[in-house]
Amino acid sequence: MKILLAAKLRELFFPDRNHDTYDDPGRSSYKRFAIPHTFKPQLSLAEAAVSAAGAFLRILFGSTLFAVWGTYTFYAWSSIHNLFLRGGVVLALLLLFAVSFTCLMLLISALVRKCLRRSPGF
Amino acid sequence: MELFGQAISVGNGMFLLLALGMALSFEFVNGFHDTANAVATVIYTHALKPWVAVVWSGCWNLIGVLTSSGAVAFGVLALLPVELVLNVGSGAGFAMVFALLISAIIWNLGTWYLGLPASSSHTLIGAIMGVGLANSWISGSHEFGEGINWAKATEVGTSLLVSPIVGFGCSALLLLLSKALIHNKALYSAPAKDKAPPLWIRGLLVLTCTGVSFAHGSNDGQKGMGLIMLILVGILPLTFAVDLGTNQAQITELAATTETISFQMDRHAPGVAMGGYQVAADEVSAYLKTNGKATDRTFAGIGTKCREISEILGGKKSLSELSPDQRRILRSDLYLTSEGLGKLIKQKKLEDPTEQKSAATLKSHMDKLTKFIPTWVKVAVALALGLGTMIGWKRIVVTVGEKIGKEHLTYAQGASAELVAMGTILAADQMGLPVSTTHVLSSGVAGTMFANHSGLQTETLRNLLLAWVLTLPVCVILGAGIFAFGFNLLLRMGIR
Repeated sequence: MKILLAAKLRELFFPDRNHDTYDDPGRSSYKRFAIPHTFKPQLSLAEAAVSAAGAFLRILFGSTLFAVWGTYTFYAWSSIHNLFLRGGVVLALLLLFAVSFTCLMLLISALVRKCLRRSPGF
Repeated sequence: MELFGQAISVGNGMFLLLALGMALSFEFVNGFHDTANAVATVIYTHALKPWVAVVWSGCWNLIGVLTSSGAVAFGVLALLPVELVLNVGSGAGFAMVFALLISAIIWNLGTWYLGLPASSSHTLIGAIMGVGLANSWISGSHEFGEGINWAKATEVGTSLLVSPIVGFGCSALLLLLSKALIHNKALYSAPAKDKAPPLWIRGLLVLTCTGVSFAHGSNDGQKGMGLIMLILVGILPLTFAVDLGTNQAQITELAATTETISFQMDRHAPGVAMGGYQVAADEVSAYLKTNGKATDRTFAGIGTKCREISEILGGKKSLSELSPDQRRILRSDLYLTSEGLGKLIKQKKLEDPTEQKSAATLKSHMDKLTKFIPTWVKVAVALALGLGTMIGWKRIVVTVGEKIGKEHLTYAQGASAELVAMGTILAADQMGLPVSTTHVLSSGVAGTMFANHSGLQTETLRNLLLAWVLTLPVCVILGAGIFAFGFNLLLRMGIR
């Protein structure tokens, strides 16, 4: 289960590793941060459209999730006056956000991959 | 629910956070896009390692945003239809903000995915024009096309013609000049793998990279700040409509100056009476439209608004003493009067130099109250832009570095193109030259390739030109379509 999740997360953040001309296994973590692994130089128009739509969906739904989560977190923060209870609820809400955000990103990645497999230029 | 000391509904809270998230995403994507201007030549001449260049550029973008004045941020807002800016808390105002952000993000993401360095400024201007066009069509009281800043559209058109000529021509000339003056063969041949250029060229490239990154942060980085302030003023007017930190001396001075100016305005419109503050607001709004002409009624309208401001501020020690409605009215009055006076000065309608000077002084005092940006907004925008720069730089950099010319970029080519890009930013800031740095740098690389007889990849150049020409019309259509759809949707949901 752990390996599956780790593999999924790796695939989510570092897909298309083979396409990266700068890909060097000996790079430090700073370099990994600066040079993303998601670059694919030869994109067809259809692939670019699907990928751009995927990126846009990430922004749109990510922002919407943040808006819903943020509003209810503020609501919880202002309604609960007990300091320990407030801290506990906010921590739980943070965890909920992290999990739901990751699920959303995985879902969009799966959707984009499915569309790319169907696109003629892939 | 209480946010920033103001009670708001859950729905408004969601709108606020959604809009903030989208505005920061716009800056993030802007960071992906415009990095190539700063780092492409540095990376391909091996002046800095890619990750060092990108982190360096991201940090200077961040510093640029943090030290910016906010003037550009509010300059962008001046392009929007006046009635939407004044009523940004309405359904139409929300539709406008989301239409601008969504259309700019879509076009920026699309061109970035294809590795095409298109101008983010043209994207936003196109979306603003689209919103204005749709707004003039939807609201029956307007003529179609009213409220659009056609002068800005002409400027973008001029930029499309001027930028490639400036970039291509100046960079090619600079390279030829350096060939004639500096006889060092190493400068004009492809650099050996991982071999850094001579120290002075390296210093020059790093300096221009720093300058371009800083200028980008302090200029382009502000566009998102303007939109965020518009959202905050619309949803949380109590906290953000006017700068609550304004001290008593400033308030007293402003109240006195507005009274003086109201007498001066009355002298330009003898015998003209305004039938109330709303009539005066309509009169000044009409003047602020692109085709608005200054008449006696315009002067009377500005005079009446000055009197209203003076009455609101009279005897107040702090702006916190004003009620929520008064704060909202004060902001609208300050905006209308300041923009109205600015246009009168620009059109030289105030002939007396003393009158001109006092109007300009009043305008700057008024702007201090409405055109302020809280530090947390600057920090959030700076982080989004800096992170975007560090994460999404590669697509455009590869296009500029590898796909424009047929040969590898030489040290001299990189230095020439980047120097011209840096010079363009300075010229654009000082002389108001309508050029796009993105276009100048890409054309500059092409110019140096041509001058060096390195050959050009015509397919890339064709795609680049197509993207540049299409940016404005596509963004106009996107902005207009999304605004019309969003406005209609909000009306159906009962949000007016």
